[in-house]
Amino acid sequence: MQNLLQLLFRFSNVFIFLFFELICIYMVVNYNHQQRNIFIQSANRITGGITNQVDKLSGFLSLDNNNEKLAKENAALKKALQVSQNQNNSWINSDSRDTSYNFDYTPAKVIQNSIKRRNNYITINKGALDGIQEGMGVISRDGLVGIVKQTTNKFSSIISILHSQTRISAKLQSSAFFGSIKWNFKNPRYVKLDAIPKHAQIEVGDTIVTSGFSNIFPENLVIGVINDLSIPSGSNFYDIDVQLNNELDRLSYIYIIKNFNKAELDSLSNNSFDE
Amino acid sequence: MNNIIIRNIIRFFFLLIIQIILFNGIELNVPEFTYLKVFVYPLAILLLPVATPSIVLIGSAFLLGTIVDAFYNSPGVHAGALVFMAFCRPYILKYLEPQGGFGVNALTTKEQNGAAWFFLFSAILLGLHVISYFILEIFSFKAALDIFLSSLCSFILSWILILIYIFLINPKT
Repeated sequence: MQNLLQLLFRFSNVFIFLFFELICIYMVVNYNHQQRNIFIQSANRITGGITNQVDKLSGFLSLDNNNEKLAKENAALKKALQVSQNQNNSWINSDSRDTSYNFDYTPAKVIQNSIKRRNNYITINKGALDGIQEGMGVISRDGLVGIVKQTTNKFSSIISILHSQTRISAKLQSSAFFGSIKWNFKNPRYVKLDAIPKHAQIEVGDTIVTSGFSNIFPENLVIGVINDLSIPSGSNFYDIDVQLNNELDRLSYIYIIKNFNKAELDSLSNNSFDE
Repeated sequence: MNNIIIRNIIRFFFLLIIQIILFNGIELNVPEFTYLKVFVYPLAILLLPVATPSIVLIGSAFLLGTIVDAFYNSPGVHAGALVFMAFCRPYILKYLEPQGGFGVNALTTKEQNGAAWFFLFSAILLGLHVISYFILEIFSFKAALDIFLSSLCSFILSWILILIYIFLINPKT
């Protein structure tokens, strides 16, 4: 017994090390493999509050730049408004219900963003009290940003497109062949598009847009343009590099998309899987 | 003695604040090297007194790493790497022990041991920290080249910053 105690005492630092290291590895593994992770910590009250204060300061310093962007956006919106006023608004009475009117947009400000990890998250300053819910799509002025992962009352966490588990349904604007995009882990301005068959007629410079199949993003949002393409030998599919239209490393204001018909569409596809 | 404990606690929080406010927001926009990272907080563990009990050494490493993780959205990664570094520290100190051994109140500062000694000491432990950090983060040996390149670049940058801190402030305790 005494020998055993001596042994334990002699290697106490090894046991302490193993104890703490196993906690850490448990957290790492748990976080990587469990979908409903409970560890999106920048969205919780304390760290979210501090990050918000720090961001207020840096937001003040980049006011000029943001004002310019907002002014440009205002101008674009006014132009769009004029165009739609010029057209007659007969869509209200028409029988065919255009799906683009089923989406609502909520603006929010990014308070924390990362592009350097394999799994990147974005924190924004709107939460459940502003009507944000898990699973909503997020876009910026120029393109896709990600999907809402978790909300607290005042803040939300977003899985960026730059995340190892993000897959977003996309299609070619010209020919409607569809596939899904994922990040290539190297450069935050490029993603990969897969599952485009090799008989599709595509070339560098073609535009990639959202397919609208996922119920999260409306159809025909511009994602980016094809930057490079090849067919690996023995494969029936293209290997396509897409240059993103928006600059995720300079994100400031974003819009959260609410699909009014999402619950209905989801229940429909769940029912068809049950059959 | 009390003075040393208070100094270490102040340094713990000072480095933590530098890390989460200054280096969390830095976007180093080098194409193909998006994993470049800066670590200054390991210095708080490096500069603990030689005779620190292992429960305090590893426990404070765990605490520091976990707080950093909370701000980096990466549970367990910083903490795991720092705990490993704290565990290795006594063995590295034994290896680098001067002739006649360390005194009772020996410290690991540049002041007490000389610049060359501190360069070697900080390089070995910071290297262990950075490598274990990227192994834990990437978590796959398929990306060995990624791990190697990221570790090398991040190590050089962090080491330079730590040496700048040491030469600017030159902590006596």
